[in-house]
Amino acid sequence: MRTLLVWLALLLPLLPQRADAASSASGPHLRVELLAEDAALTRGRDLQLGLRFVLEKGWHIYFENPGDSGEPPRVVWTLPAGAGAGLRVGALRWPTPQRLVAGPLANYGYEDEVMLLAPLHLDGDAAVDPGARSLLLTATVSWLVCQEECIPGRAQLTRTVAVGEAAPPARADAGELTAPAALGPLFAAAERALPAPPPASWRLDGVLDASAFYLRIQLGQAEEGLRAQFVPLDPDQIENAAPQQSSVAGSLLFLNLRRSEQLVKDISRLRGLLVLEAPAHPPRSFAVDIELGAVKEGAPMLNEAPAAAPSAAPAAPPAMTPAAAPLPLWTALLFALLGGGLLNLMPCVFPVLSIKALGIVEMSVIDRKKARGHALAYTAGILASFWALAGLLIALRYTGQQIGWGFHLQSPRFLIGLCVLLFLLGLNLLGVFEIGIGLTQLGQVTVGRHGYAGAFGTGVLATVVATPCAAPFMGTAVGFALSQPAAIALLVFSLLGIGLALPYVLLLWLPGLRRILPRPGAWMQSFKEAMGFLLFATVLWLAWVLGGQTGVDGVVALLGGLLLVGVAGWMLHRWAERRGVTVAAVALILAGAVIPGAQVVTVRSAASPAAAVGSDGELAWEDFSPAKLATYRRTGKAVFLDFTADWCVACKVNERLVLRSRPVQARLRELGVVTMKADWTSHDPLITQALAEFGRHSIPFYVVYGRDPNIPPIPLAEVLSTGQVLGALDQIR
Amino acid sequence: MNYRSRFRNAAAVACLAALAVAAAPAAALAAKVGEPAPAFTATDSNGKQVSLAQFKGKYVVLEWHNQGCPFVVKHYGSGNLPKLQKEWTAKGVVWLAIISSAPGKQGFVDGKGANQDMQAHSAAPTATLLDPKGEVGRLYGAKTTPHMFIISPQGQLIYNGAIDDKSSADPADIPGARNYVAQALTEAMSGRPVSQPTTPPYGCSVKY
Repeated sequence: MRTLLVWLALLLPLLPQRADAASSASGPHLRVELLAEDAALTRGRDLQLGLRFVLEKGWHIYFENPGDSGEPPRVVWTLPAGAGAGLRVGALRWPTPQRLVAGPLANYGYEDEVMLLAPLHLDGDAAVDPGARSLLLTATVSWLVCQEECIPGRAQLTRTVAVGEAAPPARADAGELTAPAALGPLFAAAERALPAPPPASWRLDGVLDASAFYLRIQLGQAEEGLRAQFVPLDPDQIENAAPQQSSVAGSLLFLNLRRSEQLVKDISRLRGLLVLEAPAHPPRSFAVDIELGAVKEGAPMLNEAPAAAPSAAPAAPPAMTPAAAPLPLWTALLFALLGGGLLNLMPCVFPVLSIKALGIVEMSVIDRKKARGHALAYTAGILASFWALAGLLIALRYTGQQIGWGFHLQSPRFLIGLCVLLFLLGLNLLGVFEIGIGLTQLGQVTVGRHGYAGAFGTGVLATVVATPCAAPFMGTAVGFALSQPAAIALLVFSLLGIGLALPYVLLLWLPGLRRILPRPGAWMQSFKEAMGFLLFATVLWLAWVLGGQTGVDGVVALLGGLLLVGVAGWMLHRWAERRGVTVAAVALILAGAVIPGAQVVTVRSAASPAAAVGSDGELAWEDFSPAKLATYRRTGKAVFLDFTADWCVACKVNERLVLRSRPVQARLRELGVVTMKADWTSHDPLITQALAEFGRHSIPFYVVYGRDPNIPPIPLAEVLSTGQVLGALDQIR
Repeated sequence: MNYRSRFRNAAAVACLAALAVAAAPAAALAAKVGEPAPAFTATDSNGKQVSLAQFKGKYVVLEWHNQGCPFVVKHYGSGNLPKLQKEWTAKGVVWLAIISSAPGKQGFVDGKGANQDMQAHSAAPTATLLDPKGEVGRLYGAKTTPHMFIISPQGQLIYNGAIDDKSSADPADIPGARNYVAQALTEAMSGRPVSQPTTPPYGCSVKY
């Protein structure tokens, strides 16, 4: 018997040790290991354990709050029996994560490598198996490692830790990732990566309303060029993918966070990590727990925040950009008047109105009263249409839709209807058809009334064809209007209408002005036909915009509709007298307008096929995304942001004449400015939001972001000039 | 020139009407519980057009699906989701599985592939909708697979969140987990308010 025991005692150590070599494991795309800072556990003191993940490039694991999707790693610790409660492992300590954005979703996680820490503690008076010189710790780790796709993994890791003062010489286990000598620096780095408690000199508070969190942090001292980011600890509180706005005024740091759609009930505290970046320091992060109060009138932080929140736009969080200086009312009204007047010159409106002007030229005698009546009816038509448009825009904004001026052009169905209308008018001007005599006979009895109704209708028509063309100044005025209460917005729109009506009204009101118009003659017929072609050119341009939104199929559907319209025009020409024919023709026209629209159900999101690199080595324009912009700003790159759309004539003009000019391209390249394009051809709430943050609701619009976060972004006017752009670029170098 | 003005008048009125119709507001923000569920139309795996409006008067469950995601595999491989689908469709609930993966990304399938996948797991959704452009997904703010939404017969959104309360990819967690969808449907059908209408959804991100 004794011999047997001796043999067993000798043989036992040779039997395979259970998992002693398994302090590390590998899974798909990662290796994980369990480390201890020291080889020995001293009673009464914490021994830091480290769970180290080394990830394949491009793959990541998640923070304890993974964000919109994903799963953080989980650990279940198994400690030797008999140790009781005196031996325990504390909660995992998570280093500061990175924000990983993927489309409309954002996560918080770690790439390359990360070490999670956990304190192992043995109470001074805890009973441990007598004679036990070492403890076997087991960690059952499960994780989710993702790149685009996600792969779950699991491993059981063990480590033996000596108890007591004696520290046996460290020896490297087979298959261990980390040499003992590297442990010290590794743990030190992991500790540094942990968020720190906020300094005692800080004061933190915040406010939560229906759309956003407004945080205010009183720092110990003024900090230059500070930028802040917030990583929440709990899910579904902030909108993870939304851009966070931070700004500093002296020693006060403001941070606005978009509230999550999933956060239904107000919360009273916000926990998370506040990550600060400043030019002079490496990034620092602090674990904060901020008490939130209700929104109070005159609450100090809202008064001290740089730019006030527009009250008529409940869906958008208040803009913190210093660039949004409010426009005085009279300036906006002046711009509206000017913009409306300039609309008369736009290729959309000019053909229609010039024909009307021709009508005046042809009249040898003008009945003053009737002419003035016409003018008033015309103005009434324009005003009514503008009010309807304004009302629609205001109602949509009130219900929280993110729209701006030009939203109608983001709708393919509207574009198709407009093309049909303009095509029809063009055909009419070319003389393809005239409306039947039958109808005019009806009109003769009530010439006066009919004349006025016609003038009203012309006013409505002028507004409808004016919508695709936004004149200079109009954008600023409309942008101002949409951020104001309904009454002021209607006033601005009214002045726009008056501006649009003014030239024609003046011609009618002051017959003397007729003298500046050329004498009637044969040229009028050619002019009329030429205007028809101008209208066709506008249709061509709108078809191009439609193509950008819906692809070739949409354009072909439109052409099909125009074909129907052409047939209708021919029918009106061929059988001019018959009333039944007129009805059929109108039905065909309506079909041409509506059926293509019904076909075109899906709208491609604004993926402009514009070449990444233009010819002659022109600068590439990246697609705008708030996350990309934030990244560039964080890494100290200057950005030139161009808000544009296919349907925005002024934008295209600016791009061609100024942005693509040699001096501007050269300077952009020289300064290493990143050129970014926000394409608003189709509806994009992120772009609408980005515009709203500058108090704008229409384009063209340009923003120059400097390398130095200290300097606020520079907005540029609608009508660009080379000098202006170069001047702005000079400011940010 | 009477006819010209008259014609323009008529044309303008007709086109203004078209304008009013065409200028429909673009997609709303993500769906909120307690508000009308956003309307949508999509093509199912058999090529048919399916729209939410045709199910008015019935409970509708929307399940965002990606056959490659470990969290979806957890619920399908274990038979949990197929069982739920059969149980509730038998009670008159319309169950729509929606695949919003973009072409080339994980989970993207054509109609045949989607049908094969459902058959392989004996799954029984009322229809599987293909949303490769992610329009329906973005309309509802679907973040993960699975992400569950429940719509009442009156068209209100009554649930938006996770399938159950154990966020993991481990099938062993299913039996012990509280199934939010079953709970919400049971409560709603017996006339009680849904006790947990919004929960944090878990899973892989939707591959827009």
